[in-house]
Amino acid sequence: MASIETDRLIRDLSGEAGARRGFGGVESGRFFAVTVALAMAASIGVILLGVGARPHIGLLVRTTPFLFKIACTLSLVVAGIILARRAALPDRRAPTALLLVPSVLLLAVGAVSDTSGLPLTGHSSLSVLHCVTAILLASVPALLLILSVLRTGAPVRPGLTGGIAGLLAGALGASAYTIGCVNDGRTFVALWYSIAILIVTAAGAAIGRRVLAW
Amino acid sequence: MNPCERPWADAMRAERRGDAVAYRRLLEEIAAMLRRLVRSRLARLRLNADQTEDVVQEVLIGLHTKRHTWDEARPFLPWLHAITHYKLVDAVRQATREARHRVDLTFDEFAEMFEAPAEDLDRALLDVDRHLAELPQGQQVVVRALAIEGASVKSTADRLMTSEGAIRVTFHRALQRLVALAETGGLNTRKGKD
Repeated sequence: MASIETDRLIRDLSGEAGARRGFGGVESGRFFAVTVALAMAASIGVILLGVGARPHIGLLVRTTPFLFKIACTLSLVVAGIILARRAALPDRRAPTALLLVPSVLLLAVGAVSDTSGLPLTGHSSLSVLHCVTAILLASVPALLLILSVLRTGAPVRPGLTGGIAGLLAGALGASAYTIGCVNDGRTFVALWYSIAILIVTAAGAAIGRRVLAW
Repeated sequence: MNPCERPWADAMRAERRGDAVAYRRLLEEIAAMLRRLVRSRLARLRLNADQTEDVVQEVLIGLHTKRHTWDEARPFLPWLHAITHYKLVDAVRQATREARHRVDLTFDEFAEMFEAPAEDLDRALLDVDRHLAELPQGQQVVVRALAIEGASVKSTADRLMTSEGAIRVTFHRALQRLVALAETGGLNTRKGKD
């Protein structure tokens, strides 16, 4: 007993057969990769404009502290990319926290093995504020970009998907901040980078609940 | 493999080539499936019968607006299942929210319940007692056990060492008698004891 309204709806919908958006969405892996690259560029732009590169950054990139920072943050970026596509497409495997294990282990082991004696709160009294604020600001354009692309998907758990978008954006912001970060203590990185990323994650979840529902 | 997988996946591909006829047939078949699905579990979904068609339409619209997220290299039914599940959960959440609104008990309404005090209830109970007293002893025992103490027919039968059938007959006769008493006595015994 089909209703007349449903029949009319089906007629209307079928009239749109073949009418797809011209450009892709999150369903295209290549499209999403381009999005993440753009988000990364935006984060780096914010850091270069707002903080500036650390002196001698070209020489420092091969030193352990820098490599530690970039390994932690980029491993989170990779996990975030995989998780974001899983969360945004309805028939993929469910996102799993297992993908975060390498990054978390790296951060934990790095912090525990830190014998540098560098202070937990950084070189100056403003280090913590500086670090967290810079990562948050660098994450904002990335978060907006990623959320808008995830909207083209069909996330069945909008809050979780938003949280993953926040995690990815926070990781991008943090990896961009490594260019300007002058604090090399691994405990500093493990604590304050993580807190900044968690704040962006929470913000992403809160926004996602609203903007990713469909 | 599910017999719908192939034809439905083919129809989804046809839609991408702009085949409106195949897409329309697909939507009609899916609508029929959804209608059966939703109707068969309305109660479990906490939906009213008249909401079936709304839910069917919601799922169809969701399928339509998100159809580009289906990957042709993957099976279609798991995708359709995910979309359907999401929309069903959504519909149930909305229905629950609306039900909560309907049931909303304001404090004023709540307070009104205290204005006509317990007196009525007491008198009704007194009436019941008075009428009960006019029943034969055997019927009194059964009515007290079943209707007032809330015992089961079986436990009452066991206690009185008789059959369940006998208890039911006794109870039925007692009720008839009580109704008759209430009518002749002109007092209201509460209904709904049967």
